[in-house]
Amino acid sequence: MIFNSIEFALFFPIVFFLYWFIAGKNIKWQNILLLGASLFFYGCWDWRFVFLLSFSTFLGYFTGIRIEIAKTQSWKKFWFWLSIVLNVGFLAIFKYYNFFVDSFAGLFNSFGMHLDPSSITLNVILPVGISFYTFHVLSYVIDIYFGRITSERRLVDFGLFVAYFPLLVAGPIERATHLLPQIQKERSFDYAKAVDGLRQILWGLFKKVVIADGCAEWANLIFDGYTDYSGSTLFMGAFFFTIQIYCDFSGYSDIALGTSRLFGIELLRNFAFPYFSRDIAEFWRRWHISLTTWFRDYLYIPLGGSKGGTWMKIRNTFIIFLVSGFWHGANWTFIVWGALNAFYFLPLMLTNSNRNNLEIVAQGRYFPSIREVVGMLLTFLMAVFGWIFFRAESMMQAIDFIKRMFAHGLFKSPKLPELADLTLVFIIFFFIIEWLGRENKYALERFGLKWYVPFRWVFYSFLIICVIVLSGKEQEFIYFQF
Amino acid sequence: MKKILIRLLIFAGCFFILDKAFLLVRNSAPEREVDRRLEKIVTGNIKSDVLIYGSSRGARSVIAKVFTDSLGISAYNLSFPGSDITFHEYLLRLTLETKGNKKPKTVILVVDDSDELKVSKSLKFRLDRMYPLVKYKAIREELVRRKEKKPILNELFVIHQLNKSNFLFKQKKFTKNDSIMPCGSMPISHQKKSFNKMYKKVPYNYSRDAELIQKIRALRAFKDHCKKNNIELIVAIPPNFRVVTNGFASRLNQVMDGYATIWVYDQKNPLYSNPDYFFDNAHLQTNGSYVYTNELVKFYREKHNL
Repeated sequence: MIFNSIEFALFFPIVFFLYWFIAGKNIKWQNILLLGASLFFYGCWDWRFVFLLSFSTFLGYFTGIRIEIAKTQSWKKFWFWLSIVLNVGFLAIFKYYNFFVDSFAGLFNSFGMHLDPSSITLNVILPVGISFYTFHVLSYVIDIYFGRITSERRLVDFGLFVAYFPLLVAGPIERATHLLPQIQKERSFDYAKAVDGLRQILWGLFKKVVIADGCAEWANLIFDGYTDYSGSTLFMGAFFFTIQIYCDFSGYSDIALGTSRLFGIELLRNFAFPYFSRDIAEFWRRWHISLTTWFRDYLYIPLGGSKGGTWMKIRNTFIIFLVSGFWHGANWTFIVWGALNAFYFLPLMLTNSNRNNLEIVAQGRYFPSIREVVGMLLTFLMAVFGWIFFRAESMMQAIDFIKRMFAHGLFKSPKLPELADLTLVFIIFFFIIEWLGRENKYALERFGLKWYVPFRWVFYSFLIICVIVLSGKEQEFIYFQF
Repeated sequence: MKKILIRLLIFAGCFFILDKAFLLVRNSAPEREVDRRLEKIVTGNIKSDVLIYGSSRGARSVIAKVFTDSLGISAYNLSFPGSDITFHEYLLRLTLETKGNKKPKTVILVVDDSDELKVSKSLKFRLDRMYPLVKYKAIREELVRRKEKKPILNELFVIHQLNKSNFLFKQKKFTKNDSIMPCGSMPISHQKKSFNKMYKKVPYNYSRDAELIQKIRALRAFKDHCKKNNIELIVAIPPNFRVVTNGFASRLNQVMDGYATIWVYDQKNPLYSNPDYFFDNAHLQTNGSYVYTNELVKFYREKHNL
């Protein structure tokens, strides 16, 4: 069941109705209902996944308590590492095992030693969202170990923290310190928050169905037949993918945040208009924020962060970007994408310029300065180049794609189907709304709120019409695969 | 809670009314098309005894009018460039199921040597030809059947029946490559610049690699429609600028359990290795199309002792 499906359109109002009208203000029943709904939601993909999710939940719950009550440091350590090894182990087996086997076999074969990887690779499917809920549990266990939080004794509350359906399959990656207190607090219906949630859902759907899926059509067409196109058309393919991946993922996050707000629970913000960033450091403060901060808090800082010497800074920067790339998938393309971003980031860090652009671009103004425009454009182009690796199916394809992009008519007029023009019009409309709303949590947060109600409704109707016209075959969200 | 529910209901009501205004967009779309052949099928206006189905090879190579002129038999070409066997099967099914259409006596399926049953980038189910005609229920039902549209939304909202192409309000025009004769054929009277004029005399051997089960099923279904309706089926392999693939005809015969007559053009005819008769390596140009259709008509005449 995905957010842009009929099944979800039926599932959600039923849960909403039961939550507010049947469970009422009884927090215990509200949480039981949400947990049950979450397990059902997850089981709709494959009921066997529910067992894995439940195991991960029990593991986190049990080891969390054991760590807290352990009488000696060595026992504390034991339960901590048991939890880490098992959680990361599951992730490694399902997501990375085959990748390592294939890579080692390739390495052995290059030395003339024949190794057939098919005899030892596993024929398993990757459980949806495993990277996300594993990180939920990991952050919880690490926080307990370092004494930042106490363990949660109510299994339902902890289960809901791990499996809460709006964030279960593609984040945002929540922290126990942020989500658990909300789960335990009494929640009552708030009209303003509910309207805000609905607006965020609508904007998320527009981003996903109209922009991301529209761009996907042309990006797929160009990437699949990249040998037939000119350099400029290949650039447009990379451009469409750049827009697609942002609208796909941030669209999902908007729907998740909006949905959760309707239940009275605020989730962490995941995107803050990253394509309006003036340098790559700002881009990474605004892109997939919940993952970036997770790596910062649980990997970068424990490694020493930027406190050590230059080499330590460089090492830590590379580690965090490579791990971040690898988190996205078991393919060299993701690792290279991570490394490329580390190279982008390095000059800024070495010149202490990585925190130059902390405020919102052109704050309080309609138009940016020329310097800001140049910064945004360069950062955007760097992102476009990086996404080629992310989108390509192999390193060979990525390199060939880039070679062809620069070798054959990069400055010629691109050849695009007529309907791609319509997608470009939507992209322009989308960027205007995003630009106008860049000082808010999401683009529509305050957009049109002061308008006369019929005008506002016409605007909502326009967005809904676009979504319904273009909602044909359901396209899964890209980040479900991670 | 009451406030938001009331507001949502009022909004939904207004939206429902607004949605009906899109009937204008939906119903005006067919008028902007230049190729009205699919609409002729949906509206039950196919009245010919011989129908030709295929992709661009069928559209370019077979001039239906020659049948009428030579044999006095009404013929109509329903081949669509860029379409595959799944689309041809749909068109035949639609022709037979739609009230008002005359059941043909003969169906000629012009196949692509040797991509007919294989994965192909250039041949597909032509959804783009269907969206301008969503005002017709049969088309809407097929889009739902193919999971292009969702059944509930399709019933509730006019806008869900539409596609972004319905919002291109430009009148379509004939192009140099796409102009249609009244008999439905689409011959081309020029040559492609990139045409490689080296005739390939050594045949390829047909390989079943990359065959798609959906296409095999569609070809079988095509044959079954003909068999069920007692329609003669001729499968024609038109000329490429190379010799016919070894084993392709027998593979087609095998898939269709021998029901169809597989007809291959006269490969000894030197005109088929003359580049002046070709548009590109895969299509004849008008003079070649007449040569080929005359040969097909001759075969038909002999087969039926006319």
